[in-house]
Amino acid sequence: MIQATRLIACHECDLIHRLPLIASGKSARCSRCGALLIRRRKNSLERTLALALAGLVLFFLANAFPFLSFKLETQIQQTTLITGIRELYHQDLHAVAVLVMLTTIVVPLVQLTGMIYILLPLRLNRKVPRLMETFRLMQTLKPWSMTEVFMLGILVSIVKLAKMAQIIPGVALYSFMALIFTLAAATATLDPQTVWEQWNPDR
Amino acid sequence: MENDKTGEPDFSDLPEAVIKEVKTPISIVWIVPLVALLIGGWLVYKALSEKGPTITISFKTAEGLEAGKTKIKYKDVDLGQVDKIELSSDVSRVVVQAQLVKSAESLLTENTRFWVVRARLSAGEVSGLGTLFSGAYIGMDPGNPGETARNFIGLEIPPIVTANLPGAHFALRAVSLGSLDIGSPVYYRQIKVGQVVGYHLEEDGKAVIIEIFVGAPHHQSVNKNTRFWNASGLDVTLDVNGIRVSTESLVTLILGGIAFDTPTNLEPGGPAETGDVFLLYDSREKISEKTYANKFNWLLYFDGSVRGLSAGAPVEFKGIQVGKVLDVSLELSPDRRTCRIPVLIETEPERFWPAHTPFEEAKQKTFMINLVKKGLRAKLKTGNLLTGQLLVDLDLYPNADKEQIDFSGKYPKLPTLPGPTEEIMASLTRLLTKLDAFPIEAIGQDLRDTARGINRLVNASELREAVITLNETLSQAQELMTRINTGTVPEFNAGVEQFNAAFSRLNTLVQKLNDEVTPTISATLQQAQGTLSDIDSFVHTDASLFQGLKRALSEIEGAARAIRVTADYISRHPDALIYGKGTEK
Amino acid sequence: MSTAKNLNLINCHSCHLLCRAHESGSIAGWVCPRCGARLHFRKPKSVARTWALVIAAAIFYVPANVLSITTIVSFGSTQSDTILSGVLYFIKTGMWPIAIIIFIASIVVPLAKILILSFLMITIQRGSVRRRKDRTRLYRITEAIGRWSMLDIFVVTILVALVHLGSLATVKAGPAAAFFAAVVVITMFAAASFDPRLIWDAKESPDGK
Repeated sequence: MIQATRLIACHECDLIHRLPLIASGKSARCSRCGALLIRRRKNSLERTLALALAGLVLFFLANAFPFLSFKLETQIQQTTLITGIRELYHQDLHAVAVLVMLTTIVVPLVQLTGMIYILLPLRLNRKVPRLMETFRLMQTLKPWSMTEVFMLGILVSIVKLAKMAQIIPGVALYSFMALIFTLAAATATLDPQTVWEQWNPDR
Repeated sequence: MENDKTGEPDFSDLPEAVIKEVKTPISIVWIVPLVALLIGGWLVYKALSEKGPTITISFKTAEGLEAGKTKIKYKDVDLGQVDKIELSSDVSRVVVQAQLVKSAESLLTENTRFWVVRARLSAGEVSGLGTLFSGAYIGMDPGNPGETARNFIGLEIPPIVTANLPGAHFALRAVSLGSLDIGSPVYYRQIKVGQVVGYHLEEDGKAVIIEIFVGAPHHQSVNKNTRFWNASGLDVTLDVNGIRVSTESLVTLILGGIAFDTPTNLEPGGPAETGDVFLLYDSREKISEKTYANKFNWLLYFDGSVRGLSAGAPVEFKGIQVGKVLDVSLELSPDRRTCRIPVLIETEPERFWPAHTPFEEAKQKTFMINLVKKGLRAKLKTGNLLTGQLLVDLDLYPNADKEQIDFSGKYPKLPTLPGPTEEIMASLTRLLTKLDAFPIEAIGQDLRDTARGINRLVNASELREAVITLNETLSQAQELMTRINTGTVPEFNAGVEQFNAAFSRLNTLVQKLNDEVTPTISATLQQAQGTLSDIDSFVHTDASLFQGLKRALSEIEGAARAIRVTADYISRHPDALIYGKGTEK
Repeated sequence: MSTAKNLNLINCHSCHLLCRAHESGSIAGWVCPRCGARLHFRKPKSVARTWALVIAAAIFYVPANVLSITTIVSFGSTQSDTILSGVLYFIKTGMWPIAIIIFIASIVVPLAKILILSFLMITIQRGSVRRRKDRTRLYRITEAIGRWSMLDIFVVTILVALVHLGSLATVKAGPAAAFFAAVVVITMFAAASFDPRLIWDAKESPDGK
């Protein structure tokens, strides 16, 4: 276990601080530049795990069912999450299609599975290969999970198209909205300190 | 911040709390994934259980079909959707995989038929913008119950959907399909009672057979003598009788349609049976026309202009149409150096066969010879004032010259009489020649001489003589004027009087016409109108009389001008009277 | 003020473990004992990389706004829209909030990122010590708002997916989408490669350098 008195350097201004034990739910900030140093979460592992599992279910639902339907007179266009990406790819915007795919499908999936991959063994005190690498990967990819932006994009599109035609939300849309919240909650609940602390590097 | 060592008060006499291993309780947060799982599971279960059967249909081509879009419809209800379109393994056909709704499962039997309804206006209904763009869809007919099947071979031509509906099928024979198509409605008294279900060419390719279906109970209105006609679109006819516009309904305007009715002047003839063949008439009017099989062609020769006579113009006998003009051409006769116009007409002799006598072709010839003996002649008559169209009028003229039908040649030749137009033209021509002989030239010449004389007078040398001669000239000019007044004008008047005479002659002519021909009163007025308008045109535009008058007046104008100029000159150069204008002395 | 660098300590960027740097040996190849991440005092070649990326983003920003981002084909008539004309359309049709959102997300944010990062780097290179806390805050904001510029790309994705009704109405994505995506990605990388500790490295010295 880590000693009570620890030192930490602010990652934004590099000032060294002494760090006391921080109770769950409290946070420590840098004295010079105000950056957030540590934030402890209550029951981080368990909560995050639960949310991650829920997120996975929702992710599956969001992709399996129709997302939005666009109805103009009698013409209906049903779409799933992947429809837009496929369409962009068809229109030769390969790079954009790949980018959208990464930010809305791949990275969130990596986040969710990564969380489960890490937290489950930690919870059950088992060892799995490359746990730290996975965790680091997750941290690196965190800014690339843009599902909330996608949600806002959906909102804007609906407003734009609502005048022309009827927009019918599908099951996937609601799942996706729930997924966004769940994923955000899971990411927030995940306390890296707990991970570091729980992890026993005895390779 | 330093961590203060917490000062612990001495609680050593208190019992020690028992430390128990607190099993970390299952946090309440696990409800979240649980709920998610439950909802998800239920949705998945619902989707799977509601999944209808997947079927495959093979077609020759996938034209108009789109994976993920094209719907399968029965009675206009969406029953399924095309999922995938692929080529069959031997690349000869296209295999369409479709997903149907669960409720359609019971409809899938081995007798179920599928066909592609290609992109077109949905026949019989104009049901909104969507159908215009709905593109192709796959139609379905469950057919008779049988064993369930999942793989089908699609039909290339939509079948007669109406196999199970109560009603009757009939066949119509038409010259061409026109704007009809499968699904075009069939109307009875402007109610849609059926539709076209198919069509094909007759074996010899001379006609189209259109199969229609009339639903119960209206099929009972179809009798043996019921007439069917093509009620498509807009009927605009411009013919001898004027302009007419008619349409059945807005739907037929766009989609075409057939209407039927039993004409009141015909016996119904008992109900028609399935499969009966009827003739499809071109329009409502045509059904009331009696059609006769027998047609007899005649050749007519006209000398005058046949302007306004075109192929298809009616041939009338006492105002009733008995045939039509087939062809109008020109024939130059080299030896006589004239040309005449042969007009080929077609008559239906049955039309003016004596009533209640059975028609016999052999007796036809003698019948016609007799008619000609009685004075049957052909004349051209103005049919329509609006368009100036002519028609061929057959009538009996007891006073006509004796003529006979000339049976030599390909067609027998009926004798003709010049039309009233020709007569008017002839007398007018005579009138105009008279007017032409009017001595206008002479008058003009006179005027010119006078003017020259005046000139010479004006250019004389001695002043007094000049003055006297001026006076004389002026008086002479005056005389000239009076002469014009008295000379030309009376002649002009005379001309006008002649005109009047011509007019009165025309009047008598018209009277004669009145007496000679005996049409109805309206026809007479028509003729008079026509006559007057013709005269009008003749007189106003190119009467040489008018030209001559104009010329005369311009000459007078010229003479007067010359006088004026001279007088002017003298007033400015009085010495000219003495010294002349310039050179002469 | 003692920073980690001054005391020869390295703060692992991934697990925030403070490690002692070796006196000898090059820094390359050092990994954090706890999490295995690469250790470095400051993000390698931060200024150079960030400048390169910022300039690239600025270059791509121009076609992203000039070229058309969506083309609507309806009944044979085509209507191409750039990001700006899309905003104007929303204004014209009275949908002010949407217009503002798109304007901020698609036009203001990328531009702001480019400008702020440039500003930050200029101040670092000039060794300025003024208002460092605010500058750090500025950086924090830049990093946070970066991803929201992807909004327009997502809107285009959804439109392209939904409005796919053949000749009735079809939306096609235009080349500006690719350029705009490039701008967003590049600015995100630029913000990631920028090391805010450099702001605090400038010493308050009487030289003013």
